[in-house]
Amino acid sequence: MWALSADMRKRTDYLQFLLFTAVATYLVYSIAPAPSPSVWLALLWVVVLFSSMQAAFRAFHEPEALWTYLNQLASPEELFWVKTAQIAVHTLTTALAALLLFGLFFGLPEAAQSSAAALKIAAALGLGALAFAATMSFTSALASRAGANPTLMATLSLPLLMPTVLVARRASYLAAANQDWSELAIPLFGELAMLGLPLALGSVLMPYLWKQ
Amino acid sequence: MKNGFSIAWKTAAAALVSYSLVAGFMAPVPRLFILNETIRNLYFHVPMWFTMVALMGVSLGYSIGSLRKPGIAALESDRKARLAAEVALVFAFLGLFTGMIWARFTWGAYWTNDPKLNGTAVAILIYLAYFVLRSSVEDPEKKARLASTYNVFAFVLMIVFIGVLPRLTDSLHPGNGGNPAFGSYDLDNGMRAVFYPAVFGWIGLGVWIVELRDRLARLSK
Repeated sequence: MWALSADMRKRTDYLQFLLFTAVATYLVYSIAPAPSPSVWLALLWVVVLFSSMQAAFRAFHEPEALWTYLNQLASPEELFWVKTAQIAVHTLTTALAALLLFGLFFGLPEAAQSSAAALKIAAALGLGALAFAATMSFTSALASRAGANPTLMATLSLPLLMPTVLVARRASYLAAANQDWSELAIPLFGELAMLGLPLALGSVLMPYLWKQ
Repeated sequence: MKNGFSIAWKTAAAALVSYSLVAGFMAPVPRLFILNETIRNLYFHVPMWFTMVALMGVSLGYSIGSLRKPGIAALESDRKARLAAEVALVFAFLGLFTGMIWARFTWGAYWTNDPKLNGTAVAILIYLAYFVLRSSVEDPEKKARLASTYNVFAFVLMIVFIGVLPRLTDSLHPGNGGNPAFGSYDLDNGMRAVFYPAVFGWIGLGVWIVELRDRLARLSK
């Protein structure tokens, strides 16, 4: 909990991620100011994915002395859960900020103008962002152990995130078309599964990964 | 006894692959619209995937073994996991190329936005990332530990991706997205008599190649 609350106090980090998201959104807006609904969603997910990756990499990018101290305080599983929670807060903030910025710059897709539709998009996006956090937490730990290389983190993460991206894209596509919650239930459950599976695997594997 | 069993399964694998190669080109096949003679590719394309998944399973087994064993034994298990993954990757590329040729003649394009094709591409990327991870760590024990944990993590997600997700979404492949499986309509008993031996033969051949490469690796140390 100490690490989590210490992270919460790093306001500059949050501002940095939000700024990155804002700049990326504006860049996308400059290139494609009037995208179709499917392109709108694709661009939103690309911005969220790359912003989240920045946050995930930094979570396990700590000085060696701090790791030595943290390793005495907590077990590898606890560290994994705390860092995942930390990344989840970052990715969720980033995703919701990206949604707001997309709404501001591009507007919502035509079928999703109501607040109910916006809520559905937010739910699909939020769950997808949490699922990203679970997978990226593990790959970030792995990259950290392999020498804290951001390129390696991206190389390891992107193929593993593809199932989550496809499920999340399906969920958000249905949400953007303002489909019923009953239609959305299966892809949302898929997102939930893509959140639970890496969490379970990460918890089991973290002691082996973190062994000195 | 062990030697006799080893000779028996290797001979069987070689015989089954030889039989499937000859029968694959010569045996009669059902006359089907669009598929025509390309249906023979079933004997070559699908067994490549079965072999790839089987060898990735072998690699996973050795990676789990590497995490559970101490010292030199862990390194040996990790070496076998790497070799199995390398051979699996070769079969993945073979499956990909045979599939692309088939797709060109039946769907009109070498590549389509099909979940099964995306799954294949991602499976290849996952295992290429596994080798990138290995090459970025110098210390052998650390390399074995990190590569093994990634292999376990990646295998489970890959199986979800290539095995589960295509069945939930629209796909051009048989047996996916509500399409009937090959077995339901197209695969007659004559084809089964070639297809199943091909699957078992290629899997056996794949395991044999891993074993040979492992012996070579031990000899070259």
